[in-house]
Amino acid sequence: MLVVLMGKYFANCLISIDDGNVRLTNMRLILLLSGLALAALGMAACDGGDGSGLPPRAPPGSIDPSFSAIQANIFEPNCAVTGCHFGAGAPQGLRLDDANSYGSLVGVSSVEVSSILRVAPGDPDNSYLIQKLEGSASVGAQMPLSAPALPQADIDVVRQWISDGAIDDRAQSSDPIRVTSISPLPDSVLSAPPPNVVAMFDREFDASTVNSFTFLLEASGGDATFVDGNETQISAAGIDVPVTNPRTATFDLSGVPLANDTYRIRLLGSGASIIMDIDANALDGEFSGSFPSGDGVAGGDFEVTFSLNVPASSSALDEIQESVFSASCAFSGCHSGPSGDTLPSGMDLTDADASFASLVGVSSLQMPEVLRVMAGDPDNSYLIQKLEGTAAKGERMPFGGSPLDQAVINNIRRWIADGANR
Amino acid sequence: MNSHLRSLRLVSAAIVLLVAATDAARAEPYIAVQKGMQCSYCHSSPAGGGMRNVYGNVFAQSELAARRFGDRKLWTGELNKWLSVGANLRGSFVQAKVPNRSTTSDSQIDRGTVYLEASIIPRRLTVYIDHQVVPDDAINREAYLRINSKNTKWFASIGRFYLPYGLRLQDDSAFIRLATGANFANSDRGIQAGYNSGQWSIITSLTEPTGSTNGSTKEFSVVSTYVQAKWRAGFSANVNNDDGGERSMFGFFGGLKTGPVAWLAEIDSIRDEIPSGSDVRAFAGLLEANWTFWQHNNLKISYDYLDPNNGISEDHQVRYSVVWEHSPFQFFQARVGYRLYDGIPQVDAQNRELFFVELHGFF
Repeated sequence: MLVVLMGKYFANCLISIDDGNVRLTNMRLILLLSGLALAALGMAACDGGDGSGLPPRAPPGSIDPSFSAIQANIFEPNCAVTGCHFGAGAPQGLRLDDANSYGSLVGVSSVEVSSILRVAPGDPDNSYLIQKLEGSASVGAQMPLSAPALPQADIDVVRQWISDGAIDDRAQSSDPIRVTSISPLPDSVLSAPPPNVVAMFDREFDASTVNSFTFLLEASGGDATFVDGNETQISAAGIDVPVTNPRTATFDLSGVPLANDTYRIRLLGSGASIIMDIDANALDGEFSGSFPSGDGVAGGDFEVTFSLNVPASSSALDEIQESVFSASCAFSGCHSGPSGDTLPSGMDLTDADASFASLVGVSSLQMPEVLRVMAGDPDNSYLIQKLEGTAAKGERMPFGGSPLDQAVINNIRRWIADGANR
Repeated sequence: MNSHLRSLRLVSAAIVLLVAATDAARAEPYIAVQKGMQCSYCHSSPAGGGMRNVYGNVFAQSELAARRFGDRKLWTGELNKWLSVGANLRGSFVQAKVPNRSTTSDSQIDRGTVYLEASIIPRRLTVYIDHQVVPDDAINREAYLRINSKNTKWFASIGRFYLPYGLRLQDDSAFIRLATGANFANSDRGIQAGYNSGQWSIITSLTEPTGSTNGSTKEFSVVSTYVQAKWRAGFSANVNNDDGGERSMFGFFGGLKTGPVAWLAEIDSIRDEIPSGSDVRAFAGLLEANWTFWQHNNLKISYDYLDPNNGISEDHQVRYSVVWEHSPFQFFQARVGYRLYDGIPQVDAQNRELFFVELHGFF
């Protein structure tokens, strides 16, 4: 039908030319365009290819949950095609050809939603790749673009691969072991303490080599540097290697208070104690900003930092009142009011308003030259000195009780530093 | 004799009016071919697409629609001499048959966009924003500041915009738009400059591709079109170098009006050089016939071709489409269509069939 229509209307066009309505120059151009159309018509004679020049593809549901199988059977035919995730100009810089796919995905932040990794090893639900394939991403269209969604069986294979640690199974057994992801992310700023630090490697490692000597977490001491000797080692509640995923090591921070500070994660690949895989290949740890780690030569420490900055909200005093003053200070016989010049009851901490009136800009009775709370200056606030045990007079507070966690005190510091507002 | 001539003139005039009325614009390049105009005649963007200008809005009410409801006053999009607005909302029902899978049916909001144009200095300095508001989180599609010369023929823009390349089809799934990446899913930041004399236009851009991992990466694109009343011809080229390789592509496109049929054709050659692999050359083509077979009714028949790697035999894909488009009243269009994909047997999705109904509201 297309051919008949084209013939009819091209004929009509040429007849109108013969009538003199179209000049010769235009006629040449029309013929040129006609040639173009006929060339396209020539293409129209073609059906789709029979696929003989390509390898057979594993049917959906029979693909191994390995990177090499996913690359060959899912990424190559559906994604790494001209105009899509291939070569220069690949959308969002995501290239899924064999040479670039793994490095573009694993541990790399999404461009559309930078807070989410394209592939977060061990966490398919929070991997942007899965969200885009399943159509649940908050930005942009479901992938593959302008095509039906992949069969859920194929997506499940990708899910399984991510759950298993998103390992690059193409690595040779003689290659050094590399870090494929770390959580918290390098250079990230967290608003809440992380429950753990999780390192993932590109293959199974010797669990006995991942321990408190080779998997380290350090606090900078408040100056965001790690060269001046004031750093402190953070002791883990435990360092675990799940039996079900022996490529993952977890530095457990359960019950470990973390103050607002800059922290450095270290995985050692050089020195007396190093991380090794089950073939005794040393960690290739150097990190230059993208995963996997390494410079291609066994050895070298993996080092990244993250920061913790728990913000004081506008209701910070209310929260402090509830979690600290009411819970630890305003007992009968202690700072229970009414307000006055006698301690401890006269420093009334029974509710937020009373605490504000008793603390902010009020001189200490023990050391009148020091304000109990000097807005903007936690170090010179007597409250902090009493809570941290650095005051020149009297006992550390809470009197007769356990000192507050430094993380709790840091929240009070933050409130003061932010202006000690009501 | 005179009476006979007068009758002929009346009949001719009636035919001209009828043809004009049935040459209804549907915001696609074939309409520009039918009217013998540049796309920018109806659209705010110099490259076409997006917000309709005053002429585009009036055209949509006076010629596009079979009927016009409401009072006699036409909507122009202009709130005042400085501010214009517009919007698009597309919804669809799609039934897809993919081999080895059960047939699926899906109704969805495909895309909702709002447009804002502020003529800070009328005809000289313009801020333009094209923002997608549904179905996902808001996405800025285009946002730029444009400066026009005094005669408005020259312009320069800075901001985010779609790459000037090829025919600006509404259908992003056309192989020429998918393979080149020059589609409504991709807009980049950069600068754009161009010239439009009415018959001849050239638009160039220098952009930084979204997601580029190399801050110095730049993409150059150019499209040039020569337009006559019954035909047009154009050329596009694009070069993109980044650390993922080098892509260079060029294409020819054209349009031809033969009576009630507007033809469109485009052929593109795309070459990818990647450092860690062999070069890949791909070809994509489109041939499309738009037959205005009855007032306000268009039958679109198209053929798409894609050879994703000419170094591999028998890996090409084709697509056949038949789409009926109807605009029963102003600011509304319905489309009913069928597409048949024919590709390699290894990928079931390349051999799918689609039946779809699309509703499009716009102003």
